[in-house]
Amino acid sequence: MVVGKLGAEVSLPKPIVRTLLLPGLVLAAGLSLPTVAAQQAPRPEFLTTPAQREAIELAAVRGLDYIPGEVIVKFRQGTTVAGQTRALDALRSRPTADRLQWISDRTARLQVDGDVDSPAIAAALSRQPEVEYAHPNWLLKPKLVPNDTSFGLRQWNLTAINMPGAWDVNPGGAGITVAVIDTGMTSVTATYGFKTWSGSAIVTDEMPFAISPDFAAARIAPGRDFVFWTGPVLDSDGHGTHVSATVGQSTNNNLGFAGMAYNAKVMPLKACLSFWDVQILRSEQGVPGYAALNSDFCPTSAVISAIRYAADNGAKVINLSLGGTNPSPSYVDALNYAVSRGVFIAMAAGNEFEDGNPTTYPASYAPSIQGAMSVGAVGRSNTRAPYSTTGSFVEIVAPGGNGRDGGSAGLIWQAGIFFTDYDPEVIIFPRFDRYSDVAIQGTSMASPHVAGLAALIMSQGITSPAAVEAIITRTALDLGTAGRDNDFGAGLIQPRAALRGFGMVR
Amino acid sequence: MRTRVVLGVLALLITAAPVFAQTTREGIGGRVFAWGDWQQMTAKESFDAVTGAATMSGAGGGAEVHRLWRGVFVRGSVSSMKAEGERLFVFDGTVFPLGIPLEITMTPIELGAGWRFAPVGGRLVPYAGAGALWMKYRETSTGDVGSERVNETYTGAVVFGGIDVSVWRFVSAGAEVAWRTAKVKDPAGSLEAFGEDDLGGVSVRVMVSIGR
Repeated sequence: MVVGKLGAEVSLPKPIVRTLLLPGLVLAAGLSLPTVAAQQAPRPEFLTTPAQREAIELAAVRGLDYIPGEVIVKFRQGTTVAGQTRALDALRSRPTADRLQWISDRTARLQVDGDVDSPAIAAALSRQPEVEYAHPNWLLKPKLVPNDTSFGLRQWNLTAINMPGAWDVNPGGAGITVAVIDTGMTSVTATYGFKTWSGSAIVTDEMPFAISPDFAAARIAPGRDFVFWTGPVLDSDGHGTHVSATVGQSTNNNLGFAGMAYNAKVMPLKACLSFWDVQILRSEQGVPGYAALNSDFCPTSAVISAIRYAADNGAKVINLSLGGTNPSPSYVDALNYAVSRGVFIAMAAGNEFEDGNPTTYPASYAPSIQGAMSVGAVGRSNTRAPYSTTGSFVEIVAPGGNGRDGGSAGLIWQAGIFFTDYDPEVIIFPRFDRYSDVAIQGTSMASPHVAGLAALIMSQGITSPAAVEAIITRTALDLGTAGRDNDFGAGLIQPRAALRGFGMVR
Repeated sequence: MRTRVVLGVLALLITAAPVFAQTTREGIGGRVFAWGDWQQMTAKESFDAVTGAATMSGAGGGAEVHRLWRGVFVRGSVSSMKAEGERLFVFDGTVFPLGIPLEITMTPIELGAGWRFAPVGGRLVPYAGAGALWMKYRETSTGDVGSERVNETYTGAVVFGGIDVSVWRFVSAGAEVAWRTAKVKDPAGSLEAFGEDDLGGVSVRVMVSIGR
């Protein structure tokens, strides 16, 4: 049970139930299985094989933007198993068709043993007549510019877009589920014995996780993990928790912060591995030492699987606060699939304006998909955040934070996992059960404002994703050059105006 | 063709002659009137989408001064129409109602002039006229604040024609058809969505007047 207001450290007592464990369960802990301080559920399995984990770590060490040896391949309509085999025979290692891990009826993830050159593998497959397209399994990154956490309780971002006025029209978006495809949001309060590296040996560490005290458990829709394990969704990074909080943090509960659509449900879909996920996998697979600090990735295969899962399991809005710089037609397919199922998608536009301003994917596909929007970021003064990527694909902006405009007070504050409990640069044995005020900036933070607004609009009665995009665009506050521009798109979201819609003359 | 037109105008003048004769005998007169009216809106689709109907009904009244010169009269009138509906969003031809109640109040103010023709059968007096229109338009929705309230006046024109029947001494009953136009410059809202911009329409009125 968590007590106390957020703004200070909030600690959980160790679960009482652990002292009541039967000897059999205690013995199970000695068998190096992840222990669960609850009823005896089937043991979750890790989703990442040793070979895949090695590939991810290799990508981190070499600074690759793809998983070595993995591609995503889509076969043409009507291709038989024999045709798939024939296409795969073009590769040096000649993998068999049973190596294909299907994402949809014609799209699969392929891991090729003994060959790490994913671009070459993709090129070879693309030349086969049976293949519609093939590309490396690109790695994306959560779109934030991390900053030091400190204490502060001002949510200027919600005031800047007049959310109190919007809530007067629609208090919270009841009946809508928003899928947050990210590092996850912890959906259980439990402690797991995961292996990790102590500095000199692989040891089992009891890592506690907890649901955020400022997010009602009843509003966490059943989620799914696509990268780490088959167990409950656990956030060992904090990014997904922060993003989810902006979408739908509990509000009017005398605790912590507010969220945009505080009566909507959030479906946590974990498609991004954190440093700790990779470290645990490494240690569980018996590999000594630390994982690379930058080994936090979101494989394209996981993200597109999550998009499809969200569309097939009741989500009406998807938030993607992640991106990369490589085009991926598999994203176009997945996004179009979701929109065709009535799902609106908000995507972070990118944080690389000061790093060459490259085109960000999948955000850059948004203009060609009515019902998907690419979101840039503004700071407190309604000026473009200096990191926020610009381009013809930026369609709308929302508050994303700007530390140069107001210091820490200019960032986006939400309830998040207490960073110093798991900072991989200083912590060896992390914990993920304590929450505090967390301030971050990025288009990652801007995108969930739009996702939350979409949830409010959909609960208001506008059920077409294209119509949701249209009303958000129509009612936006024009910033920058008159009309649409590359910095701000159509302008800053205006939730109250969007929810009020139109009368006869205005 | 020209001959027929000339003959038609002459016929009108001959018909008007008895009114002129009466004017010289009776002097300037006037009346006050009240009406109930039913208007088919020009912006059919917009009104239908917002209020559920393309018509509005209301009531009004005014005053006329007759026989300023022959059959010439001048008139001023004001009426009021109200309708209730809800706010919406229109996209690609689909209307999405948003469940926010909205009330429309229209107050047309007309100032016009016309001609009253010679009575037909001793009691029926046809007339026709035209004038300027000021359409006061108000929209209020639940929870409106500040500039969200719509309170505008649009200018336009009105053309009308009708017939009075003397029923008793100074009391007449009548019916009138009027066409109003009041354009909204740069409309937004459902007017814009449906490509409409006119808050006028064709109005049918049933009138009672007192005067001479």
